Amino acid sequence: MSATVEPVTENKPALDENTELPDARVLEDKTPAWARMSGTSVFFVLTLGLLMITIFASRPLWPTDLWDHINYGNWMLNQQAVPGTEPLLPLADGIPMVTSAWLAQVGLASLFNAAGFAGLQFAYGLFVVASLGVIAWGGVRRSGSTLFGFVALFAFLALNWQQFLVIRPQLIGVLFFSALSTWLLNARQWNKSGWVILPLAFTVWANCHGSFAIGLASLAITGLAHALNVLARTKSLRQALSSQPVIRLFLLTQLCAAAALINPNGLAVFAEVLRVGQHPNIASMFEWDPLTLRMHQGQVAAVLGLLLIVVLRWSPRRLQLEEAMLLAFTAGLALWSSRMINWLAPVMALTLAAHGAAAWRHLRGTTRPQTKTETSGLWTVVNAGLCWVFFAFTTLGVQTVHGRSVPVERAVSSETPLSAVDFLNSEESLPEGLAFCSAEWAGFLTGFGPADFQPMVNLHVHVIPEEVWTHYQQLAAGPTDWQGITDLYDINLAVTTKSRHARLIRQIRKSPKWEPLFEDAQTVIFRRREAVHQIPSAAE
Amino acid sequence: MSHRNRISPVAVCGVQLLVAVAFTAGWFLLPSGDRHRIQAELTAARPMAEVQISNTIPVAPKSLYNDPEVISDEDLALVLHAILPRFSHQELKPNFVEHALRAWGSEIEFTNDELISGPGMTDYLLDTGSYIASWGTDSDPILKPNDDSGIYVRWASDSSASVHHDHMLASLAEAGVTLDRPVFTPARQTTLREIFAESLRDFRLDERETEWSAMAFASYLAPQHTSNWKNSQGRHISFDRMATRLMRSHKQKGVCLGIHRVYSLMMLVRLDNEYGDLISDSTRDEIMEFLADVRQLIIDAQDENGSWPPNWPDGVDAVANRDPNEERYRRVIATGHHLEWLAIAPLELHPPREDIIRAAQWIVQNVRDTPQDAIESKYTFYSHVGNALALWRQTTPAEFWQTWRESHPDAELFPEPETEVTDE
Repeated sequence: MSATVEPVTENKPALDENTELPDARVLEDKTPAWARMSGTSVFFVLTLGLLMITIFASRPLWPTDLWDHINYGNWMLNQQAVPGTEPLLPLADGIPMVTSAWLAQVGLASLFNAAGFAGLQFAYGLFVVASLGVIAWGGVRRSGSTLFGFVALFAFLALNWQQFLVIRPQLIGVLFFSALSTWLLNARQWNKSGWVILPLAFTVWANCHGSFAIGLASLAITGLAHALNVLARTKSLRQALSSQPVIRLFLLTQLCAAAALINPNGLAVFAEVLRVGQHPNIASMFEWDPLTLRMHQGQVAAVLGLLLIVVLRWSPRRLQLEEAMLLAFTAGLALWSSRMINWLAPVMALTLAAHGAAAWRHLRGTTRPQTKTETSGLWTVVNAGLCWVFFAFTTLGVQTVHGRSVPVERAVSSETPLSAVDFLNSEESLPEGLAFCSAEWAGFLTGFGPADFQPMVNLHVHVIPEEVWTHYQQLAAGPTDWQGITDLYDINLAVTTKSRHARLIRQIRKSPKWEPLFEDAQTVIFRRREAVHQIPSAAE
Repeated sequence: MSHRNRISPVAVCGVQLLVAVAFTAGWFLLPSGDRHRIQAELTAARPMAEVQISNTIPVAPKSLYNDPEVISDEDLALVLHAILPRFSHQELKPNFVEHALRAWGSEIEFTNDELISGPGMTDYLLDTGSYIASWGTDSDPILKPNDDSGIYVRWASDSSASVHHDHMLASLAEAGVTLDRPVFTPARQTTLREIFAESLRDFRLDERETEWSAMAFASYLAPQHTSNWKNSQGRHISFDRMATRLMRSHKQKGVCLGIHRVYSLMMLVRLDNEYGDLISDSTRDEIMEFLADVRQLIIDAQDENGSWPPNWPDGVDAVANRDPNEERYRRVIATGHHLEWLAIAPLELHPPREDIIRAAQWIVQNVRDTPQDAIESKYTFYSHVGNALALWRQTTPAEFWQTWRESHPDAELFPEPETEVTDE
């Protein structure tokens, strides 16, 4: 062993006197600066990973409009085209359809075709935790505090919990909006790449979900807030309008709006965004009801709202006009329709984090740390490793690594009509005509049931004729004239849900014209003994 | 701020230009119907249906048969006499006028002043002044002009209105009234075209009654080979879709025991035969299959006396399912309406000829046996009987009647009501 220590050279590690092991402390971090992470990021990755594997990525898929989206996506993949009119429902034949979520639908369908239920579960979890991650990051940036980064994360999760439970293209919109609101409320320095990145993002967003319009409105509102700020400060309209941030936001709004035109429906997608919420059929969908205290999410919103008021009272940090205006805008949307809580949640979470941290420091007599958080490629590697570990615990991970697919009974919720599908697929043929089933089941039955299964409606209620939707709702309630409605629509098959159609099931059971074909704890399937257009035959 | 990050006025102008071009291009790349619809939504207006109306003359399928064994001249004259339009001019029911117009046409003049002529009936429906003269100034006119173009025909279950959606329009079409016929409303003088345009605008494929809309649309659009358009909500409407809609539902559904649907379907096939391009081959096949089912049902359901029952869709079970409290006029509806569509149907859709003859004989006997006031109270149903039987002689009530009247000058007289003789 040499008694001397060789000098440290550029490429060789120094050798310790007593061992031959290199000292890793002098390793040069070659990770690009933008990819380096802080030590505290590990806590976020751990938290998000645990949320991913314990809740979201293993959560059974609910029979919502997920399956309708996948059916439309498969239609587009098969036809290599975007439909101009509703393509799946006989009763919606000819209804114009503006597929603002076509890219998400094609993506979901492709993912399901490639990776099955596990793929959907993973994508679902990924979009949720990615949105949470973006808000957590934004919360840390705004508050300068890891703790309040977690506050932002959990506030967002709590407020948007109800919406996070459903896998649908909207989650893509939530991710985009989370990123946008984080940028709007955090941006200090402008990076020229933003002129390209933001419009590109809006192009993708506009092809995935109609919520891009909320994003555009938020850009415009933030620009207006900046202008009002300058106006209030300078009392000069000219200065307000010539302020660079104002001009930048104004131009970005315009460019992003123009970028959103790059979609198969062009300008029609803007009109559709405004039209959907006002469709008469939407009024019957409880998820579009105004946010009230009767709803769990309304109660959470009220609690967080009160908390925000308290925090603002104690926070020495001034509530910025853009925060206030974005809060007012998104809160107004949520009061109009509880589904819009998706856009309130990120804004409220970020505002709560920023002012919560300021209030906390004020109460404790401390100040915001001025030192920059150290980042290192080491933590990037640790986080990447954690991601891999968490991935391995997801159903997709198990499927990919071990080749074990998640059983369908575990992949979908207990409300999914699995037994009904099995039975219908076992039948040689189905009665001609339409089938009555709950709108929530229509997508799954159409996608997994017999090829000739034709539901009366599905959950894309905005493309269903009003009269048809009204009759569907009436029929689902089991009215006295249920037979008349089934006669009206040539319904010869009824796939009823015991939990939703108890009255209708009682009515049908009493009718000598219908017979039960299948029954289990979840469903009863009835068939009309003589189909609507069947010619009665002479009795023998 | 760094001057490098400063946005120059040129850049601002450039972005304005880019965005203006993008949105202008986006606007003009939209289909014209979508542009109109968006404009209408922005101005809270209702867009018109996207269809150019170039033809003004309505068409109707002609009868295929002249069969004196089904109905003789004398019996036809008897039936037509019963449905001469002898209405009180006070509170004259539009529904009666529409049915009378449909049967007698818009040109006929009667020798008896008690009878309302074809032009008189047309005036009554299309001149608000005539309507108000009958119903009074406090009445709600039947023609409702919109603020924009389009005239809505008030239809409702009350006797002062047209009873079925687009029934007036279909009746006018069957009566041969052209779209350039003047229409008078308090708001403006216009033409029947505006009523037609409004009908196209507010038509919905899933509304309760589409039978007369299908008939009216086919009457005016078949000659111009228009088979599809978009309604005011942007929905693609076509005669194929209308046929599917007519065939949807149990056969018992629909006005007049579901038989108006049958007539409308047969009319679509006939007009497609004559003008082409109205319906697709697959739709035609579906319609013929549907009508073949109807044929079988009426063969199975026909009563021994030759009439068809109200529950004709029950086929072989019709007798067993018969309503013991069935009202006689409902049998008139079934028999008359079936005879009507059969008159314009090809032989392959006919029940055996003797069945048709028996049905006609039953209906003629019914007219003989029914008091005139009873017939007048059920005028709408008996008007179909008269029209049907005229079709079976390959003529129209007006045509036949004008010829018959020449050799029977007292044809339009009505017997005086019998007065009671009392012993004093």
